Amino acid sequence: MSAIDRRTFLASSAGVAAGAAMGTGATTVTATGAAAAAGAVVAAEVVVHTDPAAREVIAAYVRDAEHDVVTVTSGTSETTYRDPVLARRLLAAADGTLTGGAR
Amino acid sequence: MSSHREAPEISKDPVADNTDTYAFVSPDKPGTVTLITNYVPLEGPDGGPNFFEFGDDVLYQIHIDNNGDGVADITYEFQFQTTLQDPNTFLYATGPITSLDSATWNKRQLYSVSRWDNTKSGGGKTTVLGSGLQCPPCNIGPRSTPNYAALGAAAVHSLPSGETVFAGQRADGFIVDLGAIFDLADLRPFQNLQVIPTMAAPGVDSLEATNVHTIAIQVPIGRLTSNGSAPTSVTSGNAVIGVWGAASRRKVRVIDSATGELSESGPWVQVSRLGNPLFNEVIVPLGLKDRWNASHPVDDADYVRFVEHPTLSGLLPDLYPGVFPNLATLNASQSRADLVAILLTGLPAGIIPGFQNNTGKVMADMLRLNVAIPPSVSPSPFGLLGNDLAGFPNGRRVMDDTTSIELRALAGATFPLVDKSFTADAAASELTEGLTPDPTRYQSTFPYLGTPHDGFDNPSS
Repeated sequence: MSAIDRRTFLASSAGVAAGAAMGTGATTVTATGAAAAAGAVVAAEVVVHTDPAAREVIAAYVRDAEHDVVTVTSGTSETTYRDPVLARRLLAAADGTLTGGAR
Repeated sequence: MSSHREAPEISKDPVADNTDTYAFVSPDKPGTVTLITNYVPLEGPDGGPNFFEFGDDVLYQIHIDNNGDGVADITYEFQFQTTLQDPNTFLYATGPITSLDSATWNKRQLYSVSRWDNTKSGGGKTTVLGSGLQCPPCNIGPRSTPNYAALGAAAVHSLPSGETVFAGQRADGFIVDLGAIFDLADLRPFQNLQVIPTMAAPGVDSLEATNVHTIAIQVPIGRLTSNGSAPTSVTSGNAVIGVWGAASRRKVRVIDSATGELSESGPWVQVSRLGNPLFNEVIVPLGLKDRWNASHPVDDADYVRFVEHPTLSGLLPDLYPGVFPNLATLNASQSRADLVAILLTGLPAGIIPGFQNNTGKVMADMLRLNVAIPPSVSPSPFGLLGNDLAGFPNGRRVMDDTTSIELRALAGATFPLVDKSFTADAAASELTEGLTPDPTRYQSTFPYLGTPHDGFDNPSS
């Protein structure tokens, strides 16, 4: 995080994490923006949605879990970050522990 | 095949599969170069009701390197959009399609053409040259597409920038006997000499009734060279351009479970490329073919060892016992500098009188076209090996028999170009699949590939 203001990045990355889930599956996981922006560990709410996928998807994936590396794609660009908070939230979302329980 | 289904991943993605790339000085407009990239291999003409088309989700590109560094200086980009006139019918055509605005033509494709110019004068800018350009329909049959030649001609578009473009279905111009060549490199005219011999027979033209989807663009020569001129000297420093085709997909694809619709995100990622015919197919080993498709010509130094010691050259003496003794000796003693020159650097001046297509030391798989060499009055399908300086490997024309040319080169016929003490086996310069394509597969004017075969008359291709 040397070249990026951490507060700014955390605010944007939390939004990206939420955006990443939209359109990729049957459930959407959200976290309140203020808490996420502060970097706090907050539980996510599982929401069943029926709306079609967005035409342009914003996607985030953990490229290297061991080193907290996350890639975010948007439009025709992608950016790769080293961000422990975002990486761990995505990993927690993947294994169902973000909501405090198994899927 | 030239590059039809040549690698594991792209063989499962036909709309992005670059099957052939061509680059030649236009025979009827010698002040221009025609660049062609074909996609969608082995189209059966009767393949309805969803007839073949370009991918709306694919970025199609033709790259030009005009300074020999293996990196594109100019790129033409093509993107397609499919429209339905009536989503409530399953029919491609609801009546005869007599023009490109016939209301009876249900499923249509439009496209845009852009030019990215990274030369000093271009400054890396992308310019949209045309949009909303119409493709012709597929050739369905005499009831649905009764005057197909007129439909094809109407889909040739002149752009204000000076280029002429066409995108749509055409007859495949590539010549190959698939059934034989993939059966232990059998050549039917010589199979009496094969290690598993049978009576010699004429070749079988496997693609004689198959179609492809063609992107063709005719460009004034000065729009392609490094200094904007049309060189007249074969040895001019800006006379040779490198050309390759490519196709890319977005990095992320999401399939909506409710609607089946696709959404995409991320940068374009190259999934197919093609410069010289058969390079990835015959030279690159199976385990590296997908990687090669994702890589770029400037990185081709990684593959030089496969050009220097090609697998097929090593197999020929074993598959045709006693026919290639000199090739066997060559295989055991030297690397193939001739193939490196032909495929990766171009031939320097002084080897073939009046010819050179060398681009320097950077080893990159590109078609290398010397634009100062005029079109041939009497073209030979064997190109340079047939003493026709305007043919492959000086670029590539639609009628060049590149399978035979490369078979002969792999068999050692071109090694004397770099080592005059080597005598090629007599058979090397005779190798052929024994095919003479029907002339209707080609036409004398842009886009030079012939009217596609129709589904009604070719129901079992």
